[in-house]
Amino acid sequence: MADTLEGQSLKEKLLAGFHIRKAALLPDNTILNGFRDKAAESFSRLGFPGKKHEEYRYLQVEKLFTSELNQTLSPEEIDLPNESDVLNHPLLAEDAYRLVMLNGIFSKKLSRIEGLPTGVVMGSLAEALRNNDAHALTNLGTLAKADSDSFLALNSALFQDGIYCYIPSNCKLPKPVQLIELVSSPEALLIQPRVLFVSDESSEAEVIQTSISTKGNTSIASNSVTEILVEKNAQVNWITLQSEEHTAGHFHTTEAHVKQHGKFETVTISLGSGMLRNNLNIVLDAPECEAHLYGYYHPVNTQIVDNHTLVDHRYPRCESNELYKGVVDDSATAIFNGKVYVRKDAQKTNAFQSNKNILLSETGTVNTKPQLEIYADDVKCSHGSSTGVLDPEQLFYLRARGISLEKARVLLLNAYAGEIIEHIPHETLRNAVAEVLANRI
Amino acid sequence: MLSIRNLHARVEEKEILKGFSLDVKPGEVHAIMGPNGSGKSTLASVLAGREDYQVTGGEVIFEGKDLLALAPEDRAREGIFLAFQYPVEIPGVSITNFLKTAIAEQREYRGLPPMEPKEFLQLMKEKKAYVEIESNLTNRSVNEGFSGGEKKRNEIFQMAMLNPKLAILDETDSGLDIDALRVVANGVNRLKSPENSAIVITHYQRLLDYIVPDVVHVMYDGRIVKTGGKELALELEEKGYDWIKKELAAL
Repeated sequence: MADTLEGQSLKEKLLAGFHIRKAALLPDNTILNGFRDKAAESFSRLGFPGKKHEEYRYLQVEKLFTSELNQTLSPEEIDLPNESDVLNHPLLAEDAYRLVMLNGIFSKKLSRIEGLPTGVVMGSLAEALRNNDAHALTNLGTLAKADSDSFLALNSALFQDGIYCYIPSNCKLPKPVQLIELVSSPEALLIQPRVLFVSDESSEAEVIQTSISTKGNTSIASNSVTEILVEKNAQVNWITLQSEEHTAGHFHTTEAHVKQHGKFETVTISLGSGMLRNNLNIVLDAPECEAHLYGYYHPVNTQIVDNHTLVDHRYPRCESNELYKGVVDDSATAIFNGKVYVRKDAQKTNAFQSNKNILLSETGTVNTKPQLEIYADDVKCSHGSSTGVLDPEQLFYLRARGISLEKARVLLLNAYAGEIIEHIPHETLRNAVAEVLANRI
Repeated sequence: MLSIRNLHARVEEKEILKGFSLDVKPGEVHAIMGPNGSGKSTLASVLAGREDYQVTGGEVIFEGKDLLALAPEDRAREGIFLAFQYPVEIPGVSITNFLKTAIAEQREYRGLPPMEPKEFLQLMKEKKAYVEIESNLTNRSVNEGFSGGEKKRNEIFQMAMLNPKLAILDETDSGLDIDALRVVANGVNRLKSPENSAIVITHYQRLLDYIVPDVVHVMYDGRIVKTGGKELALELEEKGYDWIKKELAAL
């Protein structure tokens, strides 16, 4: 149901731009153009969600998607940010394959993809489509259905380039692969990064999707879409690190499908941009597969972090497990909405969900809503949500040993985050993340 | 070292300490015994600086300083150590990291250079032996999953690491069997010196067989009502707290 608002001027601008520049967008491929046309149609129909839209009621979408945003449609028009900002970043993993996007455009120069195992494809999404890569063409747009959500539709119509990875059957990637999305521009820009990741049967991969922004005057909004296919018996560990203090906002949608005996484990660390919205949708698309979702967020000042997750149990004997923890300081806002659907045939489902929040200030806000919809009758499901403060007894114990109140809070908050960070498999990265979080307090 | 004069304190509108006075000199071990509700735990809490308690009168001078004017962390840094009756669990904070931080803050406060990592490890090894703690225990989180006895031993281990001037043991014997009691008492005794002192708060006389006091005080209704030598503890054990109540009633 579309609930459109006055922000139609941005919508009209975007659609007009689409029709004019359609031919310049990506390869002239009839399949792909049909895909884009349908997406544009959907976006035209849906528009941006307004205040009454249930899924977006805590966000002032129109504040981020304003008519001042410019959609740059050709690579030449984009001001590329500094390379050194990527190469010197604390969250850069040294021993990983590296794929870099600057303002949504793939950069071969900054990427590092030597020594790929046989059959592995990593690189520009546009190039893969141009080369008629079968797995890319087959899977693009099948997990992220453009007709269901405004932001999916918008990205599908207007994305220019992105990152594509294909891991062939039985391949265990020897190193993790880090996808770096650096955004920076002095102008008000709307960028639309796109990622397609296919992990074929029995393959294994660890991915670190890192969004970073640079200092300076930026009013960038990013609308990104990531599609992840975890084929039969494959295992994918997906770590999302969001450290974009200097952007106006980022709407990040991830659609993951897991096939039989597949396992998808994801950790999302959100350090807030002006308005950060994560839509993490996981479909357990076969019997006996697993999904584990971990999240940590720490908005400060007036930042907003909104995590919307969905785990869809469609078949029997699947397991999902979700733990999201957050710390809210100053006048920041945290929103959590975790949906778990257990469909009629999904007997013997195990689905657990928990959301915990700590408020450090009196002006912070937490909105948390677990949502379980269970249609099968032989299942084990639970959900829980809590919002509180740091334990005063623990604080006093530390102070009674000579530790200052400030230091005591840091110790306790590090311990609190630890429960999520410990799920990051890569040890050096785990320590780097712990340090970034500690410095934030 | 410690001079408490006519201390009055209350919690949630109820007055618990009603004119409590006590003097502790360096090298002395004072036992404070009393029935439930006499204010023993309140005394420990007020000295450590718990915020739920309001001091409504009197003063506490520690090493020449006004203790009640100091924040809890400063009282600890000045040399006061409270061994908690119910030590809280702190998952995710390792004992090692916790003590490293505490020692660092203490030394900074006192204008001392930071402790070298090697020295710290050596100190840990040495003090673990005082309370018979296994090596790997210090990798665990503070008090997490510890039994009552293990928690009390961990309190004394911390005490050994921090080397306080004044230790306040708040019912350290509660919930302990004889063996655990022996280990805890041994640890406390090894730390005794002519420069430091201890206030041992206990309900039962048993602990005082192991940690022998120089002075025994009986606390009742928020103040000290009787003071004597270690024989007083034995007399209490024999006659019970009712004896004290009767004596007071007769006055």
